[in-house]
Amino acid sequence: MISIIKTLFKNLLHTPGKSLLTLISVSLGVAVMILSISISSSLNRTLHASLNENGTVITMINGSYDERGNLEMPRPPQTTSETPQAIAEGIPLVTAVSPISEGSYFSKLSHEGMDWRFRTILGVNENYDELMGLEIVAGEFITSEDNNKGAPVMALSESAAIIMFGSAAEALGKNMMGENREVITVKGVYADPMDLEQRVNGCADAVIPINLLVNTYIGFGKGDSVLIGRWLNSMIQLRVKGMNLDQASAHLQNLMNHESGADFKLILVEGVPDNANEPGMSNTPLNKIRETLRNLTLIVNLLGFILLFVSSIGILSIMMIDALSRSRDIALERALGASKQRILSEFFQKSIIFSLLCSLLGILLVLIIFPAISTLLTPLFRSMGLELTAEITLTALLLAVGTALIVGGGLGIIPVHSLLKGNISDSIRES
Amino acid sequence: MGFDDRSIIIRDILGRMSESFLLIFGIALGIAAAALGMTLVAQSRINMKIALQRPDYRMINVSANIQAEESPVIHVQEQTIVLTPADLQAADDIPLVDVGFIMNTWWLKFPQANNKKDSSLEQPALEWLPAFQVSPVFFKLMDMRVSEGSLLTEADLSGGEPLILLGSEAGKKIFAPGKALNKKIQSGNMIYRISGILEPTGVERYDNAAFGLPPELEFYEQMASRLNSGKGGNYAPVNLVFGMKDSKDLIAGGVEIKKWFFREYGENSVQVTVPAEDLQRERETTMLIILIILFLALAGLFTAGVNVSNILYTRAIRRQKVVGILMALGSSRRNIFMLFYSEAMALSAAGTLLGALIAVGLLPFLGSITGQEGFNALFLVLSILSAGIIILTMTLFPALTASKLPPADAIRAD
Repeated sequence: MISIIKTLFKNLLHTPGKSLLTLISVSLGVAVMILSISISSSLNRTLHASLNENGTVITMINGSYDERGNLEMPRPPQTTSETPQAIAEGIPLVTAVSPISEGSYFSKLSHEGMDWRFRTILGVNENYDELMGLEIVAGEFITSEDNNKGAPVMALSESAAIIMFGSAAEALGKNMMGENREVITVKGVYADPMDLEQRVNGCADAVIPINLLVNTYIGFGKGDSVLIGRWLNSMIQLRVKGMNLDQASAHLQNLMNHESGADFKLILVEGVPDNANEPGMSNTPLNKIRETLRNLTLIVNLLGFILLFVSSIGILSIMMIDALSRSRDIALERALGASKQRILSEFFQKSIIFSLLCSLLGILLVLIIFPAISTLLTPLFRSMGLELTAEITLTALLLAVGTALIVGGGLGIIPVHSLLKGNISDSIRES
Repeated sequence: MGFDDRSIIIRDILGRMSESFLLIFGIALGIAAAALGMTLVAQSRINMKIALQRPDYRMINVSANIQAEESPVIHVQEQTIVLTPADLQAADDIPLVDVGFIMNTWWLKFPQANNKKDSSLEQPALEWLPAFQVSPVFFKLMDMRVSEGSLLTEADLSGGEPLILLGSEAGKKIFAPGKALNKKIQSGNMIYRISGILEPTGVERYDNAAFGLPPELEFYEQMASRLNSGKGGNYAPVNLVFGMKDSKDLIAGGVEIKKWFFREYGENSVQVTVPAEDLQRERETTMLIILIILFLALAGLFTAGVNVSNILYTRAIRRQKVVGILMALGSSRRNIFMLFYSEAMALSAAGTLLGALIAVGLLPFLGSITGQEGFNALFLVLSILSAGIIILTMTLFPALTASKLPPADAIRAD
């Protein structure tokens, strides 16, 4: 082995410029491959950890698509105010259920002469904090008693509380007034979920009991509590653990057919639909992030592999010079009884050692440039709601080094393979 | 190049098939990657320019219906602001602004047969249809034309008869194709006559919508007076749109418009949005992805070029005895250069052809990833040719080296 290493270095020093160029380009190929695999696996891990560790949030809509792809919702809806409870009790793997209904009537509230408009305010039940995995940082969340009575209380996200009152603690007990002079008291403040969870699951900036909405609409003469309850429960979110979307769909369809006593119109999406008026399966924020990530990962990994492959052609070039300069020696070795396999093995080992050297340099390069690359890419991934964790994975190292060894080793034996095809005596005479 | 030269080149390429194939494949990968990267950059720039030229992106929207978008909650004015057609005066007061008009989001809700004012009214196939209330100048600015009937005009504003214009797809949705013109439909308490069907605009939200005229100034003045005297009632927000004389003035125009409205109604009284800014933000993200792809692709092309050049150089060195013999037999340096460069050209041409095939195959996939469409074949051809020229330039070096070998040294070479 030592003699092989010595010969290799002698050959490399014979054409130092070319050897250095090859060394740099293969190292760059290895570095790009490590980077692309590390970043993509880090992003996939972040996505999985943020969204699937404690189960998956699913949105259920009472509706269907017509043949033109337009959303059709049954009038009146097939859901009732008991539907969330029925789902929670009827499907064992569901951990939390809440209706979600836009509380746009309360989106503008005033406090001490200042008017505020919320980005999203939803009517929900007491399980919404568990559904969204919210951590209460001050006071308490809406209780089942609040919801049953339709109590005029609300819970705010911490960022909203800070903007309006300076801190979460300051927000507690503050009274806010609606446009028709209804008074709503801030009862609790919850920590903002991570940007990704907020975007994918559609967590609200403020929530009120859904029955407060029911009471308000009854007051406006929009119908009785049964009819309004049907409308406000036609979109429900649930968290399921240990079940995929298809399994959840089958369970929900069976349950809802039984509950509604008819063919229940069910649309189910993972996370929250991008547009509640067109809740297509494919256009959810989660699916968009997944698709962008999958495509970006694929293209960068593919380019990383192409770069590694074309740079490894340099190894072929180096081995070609080696094989040429030693063609007479090789012919003599063969004449003295050396097998083709032994000579091939010698060149294979040289290529592998050179590839390993390039890989080590590539790893070193990655360690140096990784922080800078992370800084450059962070805004891009943050715009998708993903945080890039700066770590190089062992899988990435093994995959990149393994690919470099296989490609480099394979290309390195091609020149000597061509040489070995010739006649021994001709080779000795030609050299 | 003579017949013998061609034979030498073919023999050399075919004699080392695996090596030659690898060279061609390496060139092809480098060229395909670089050509795709360059095409993507060129196409995304063109697509951006085209998008910015669309009338929608030359406009600035002003609305009193302030929405919190970036922040969970925002501070808004206590008094309900009612913008009115009179606020279009801003278009005359701000020199950068060319025109101002009303464009309200609206819905047509069709009642069930038993709730209709008149049983002879036609029943649309849908329950509701998205719609816009627009000033007649909107159709001219958006370059909209009718396929049947007529556009809504200034004369229709005071014409008495409520009219509706349907987008090309909306027309097909609510009645059988070709059957919508002049039909009367009821929405709320109003009866509208369908005065025309628009040609397809290429903008989905317009093709699927209906268009009507906005209420007159008096309506908004009454609404403002009712709301601000505490009498309540429905609030129909007005969205004003201002078109710039020059699309380069969008940002400056936005600032001027904001100043004008804040002066009229107070700080943070209206929301001024420039749609082109969203497009620019989206473009910046896409460009970053495309530049990463371009960087990796050009690195691939450069590496492929260097390695191919190296291998051709090695081939030249391997054949230096042949070079010496040819020179001794009277070949000029030019002949020797052409011998080696022709081989490089043949390999590069084969690599370029294979690269072009790979690039054409991958282009739709790359387009879908980066959201670019309508690729111009000329960009791809030019990118492939540019990448091919780069490879050809890099392969000049081995041919030049071979042609400069001293004949005596070359003939003595082992």
